[in-house]
Amino acid sequence: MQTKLLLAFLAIVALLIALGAVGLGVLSDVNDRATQLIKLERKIAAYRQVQLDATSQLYHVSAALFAANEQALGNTLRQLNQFGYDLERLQFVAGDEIELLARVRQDYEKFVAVVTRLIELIRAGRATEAHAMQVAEAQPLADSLERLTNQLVNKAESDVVSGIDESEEAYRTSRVVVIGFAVGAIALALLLGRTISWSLVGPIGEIGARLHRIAAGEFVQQVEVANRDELGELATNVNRTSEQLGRLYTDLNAEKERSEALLLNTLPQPIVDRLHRGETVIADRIEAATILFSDLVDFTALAARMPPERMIELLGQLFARFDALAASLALEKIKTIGDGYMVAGGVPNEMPDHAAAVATMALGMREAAAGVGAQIGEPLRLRIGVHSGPLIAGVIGTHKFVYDVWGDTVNTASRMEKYGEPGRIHLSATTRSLLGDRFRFEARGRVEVKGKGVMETFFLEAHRAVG
Amino acid sequence: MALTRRGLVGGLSLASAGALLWPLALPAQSRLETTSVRFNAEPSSCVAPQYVAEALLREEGFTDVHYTALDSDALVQQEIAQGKVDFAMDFPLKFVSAIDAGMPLTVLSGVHIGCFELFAHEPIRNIRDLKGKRIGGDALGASAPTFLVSLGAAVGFDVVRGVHWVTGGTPPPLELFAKGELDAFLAHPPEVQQLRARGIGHVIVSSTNDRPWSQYYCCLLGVNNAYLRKHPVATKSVLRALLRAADMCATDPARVAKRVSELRGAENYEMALATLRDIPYGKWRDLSAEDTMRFYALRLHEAGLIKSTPAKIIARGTDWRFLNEVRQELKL
Repeated sequence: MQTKLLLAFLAIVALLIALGAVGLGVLSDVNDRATQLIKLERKIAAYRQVQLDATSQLYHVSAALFAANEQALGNTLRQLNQFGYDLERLQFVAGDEIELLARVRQDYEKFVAVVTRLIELIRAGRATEAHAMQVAEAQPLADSLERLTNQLVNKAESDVVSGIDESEEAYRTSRVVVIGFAVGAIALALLLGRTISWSLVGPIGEIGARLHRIAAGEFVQQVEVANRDELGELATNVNRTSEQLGRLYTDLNAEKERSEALLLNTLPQPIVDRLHRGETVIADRIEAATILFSDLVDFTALAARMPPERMIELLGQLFARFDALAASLALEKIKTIGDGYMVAGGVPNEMPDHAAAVATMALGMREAAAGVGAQIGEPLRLRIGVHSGPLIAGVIGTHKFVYDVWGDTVNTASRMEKYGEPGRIHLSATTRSLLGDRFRFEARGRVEVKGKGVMETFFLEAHRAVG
Repeated sequence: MALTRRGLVGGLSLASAGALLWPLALPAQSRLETTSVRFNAEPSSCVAPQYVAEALLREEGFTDVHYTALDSDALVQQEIAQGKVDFAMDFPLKFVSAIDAGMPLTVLSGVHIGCFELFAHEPIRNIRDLKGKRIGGDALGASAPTFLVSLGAAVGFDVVRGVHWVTGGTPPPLELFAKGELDAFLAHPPEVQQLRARGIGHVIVSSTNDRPWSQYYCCLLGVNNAYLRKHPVATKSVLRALLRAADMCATDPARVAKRVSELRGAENYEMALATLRDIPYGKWRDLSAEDTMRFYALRLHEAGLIKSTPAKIIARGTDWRFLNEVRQELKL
């Protein structure tokens, strides 16, 4: 990744350097052209000077013709010789105009010779001849010099125009080049950005999305990053972590399900749901419920005759049948205490016919105990007590939760079991009245119950046959 | 234009006169690619060489010399470019503009200097005084007005918009100027000579005498590019004939004037002679046609009237090979 970023930045720097080099080239070109223009301006000035001098010479000669005196003639001759200085300068600044300069020099030499001769004629007092010579020879030579220098000026001006035109063309070209480089730089920057994005941001995005999916609990899909750099390594680690998290998650779920199942063994489903929802104190008043207590008659003597494993197995078989019965009747098993079994109807959810369900449970339990007793060759009898009424149901403890019921109804049901008879189902009058005539009963009469006083109780015999 | 027997005889005698100044050996004439050549029938007598060259052209081997009348002087370059005429003499500015516009024509040589003069009534003394005034002359686009436009452009004066231009009509602009109904009149031969003879107005610009124009050609010879490409020998022969004719105009203006007045019946001999005497036809040897093109291209370029540089105009629209060969033949 570092190498890629380094290369990208180097490419941008190279482009900037190239752009700078182009700019410098353009500036250098502009400088060269400016220098060239200055040289051309110098040429033009020199040409004009020669033109001016030629005209000036003619003027002096004309003046000398009108007012000839030795001083004026001397000045004219001296200035004529100085004219050569201008030609030397012309030679210096316009050495490339070989042909035209040669013609200028040729005309100049002729002009000097003619004017020198003119002055001689004037000095000799031959003004008429001098005038004729001026018109016939000096003037045409001056004209020729003027035209030649005009040609030089026009060429120089034309070169200036061409130079400016080329400068403008160069500017346009430079502009295209600079814009081209700028566009190229933008394109390259975009390309590099895209490449870096593809190479850096893309994988990071992929990894980020993958982490989001992991956070959402999806561990199966792998993040695909082709990079063989740090990002590739990171992606591999993310995949490995995802796999490990997946395994952990699966294990955790299994554990959760197991603990949930265990919890459901000790707590009713609605109570478990409420605990999951965050309720910490569960204590419900149930207005109408039926409690059943059962106890295995002579269990202590039976246990003494049997090995512990056998005894546990026996209880296991028996309670498994009770549990199945309770589940089939939608009754809530509260707990087992030794050989005792406690079940409730109408708890924790209301049940309209809780007494009948519990009565059916009691009949089923008695039958199951007889069945198991037959299997083991030992008579197994239950003493069952049932009572109906209001109670409190709830969860106690901060760990090892237990769902339990409390209240007088519970105590009375326990008393019914204690004051019952082996193999029989002892009911309170309250429960009896709830069961109506759907069962057969045997009135037991009035029974003195500890803590309760005299109670009218009944024995449940069986379901009343329909019809 | 039909060639009469009288005209032919006159032309031949002129040709003989011209031949005295030029070498006789013309080996190229037998190899002419074409014996046909067409010129524009220019109303101005300043192009006298074009007419008196007819006999010289026949001497060079041409048998079909034709003069085509154009609707307007402004159309000369278009007519050359379209091949309606093969050669034409015209003002450099118009050739420069045409070459800048990409017309397929080539300038071969200069022929003579001169010949426009701008006449004005008092108190007009210079170009700037023309602002808002009524000026007569050829229609805009013709040679003389183009010259005036370039003069104005050189001093930042837009002649096209800055003056009231009067062309054509009855009475003609020259007469309106003579009556004082126009402030100025841009004349070319023979109008120049007519105004001068009648003593009307005063000259404020003379391209024949005033610098810098007097240092450059007024008339250049242009040729259609296709004609030049297909007929280089004929092209050179035409150029020779034209330059010989210019020499004849310089050396024997009276005879040429007579010839011109014969060929162009309406042309007054005296005016033709005055024109021929005013225009220094013999100076073609001294001037540089290339520099003329450069000078006028510079003026048009600085006025923003053309886009091409002078160097490009010269490279694209001139060919001095034939002129140089003729000059070598004359040992110039």
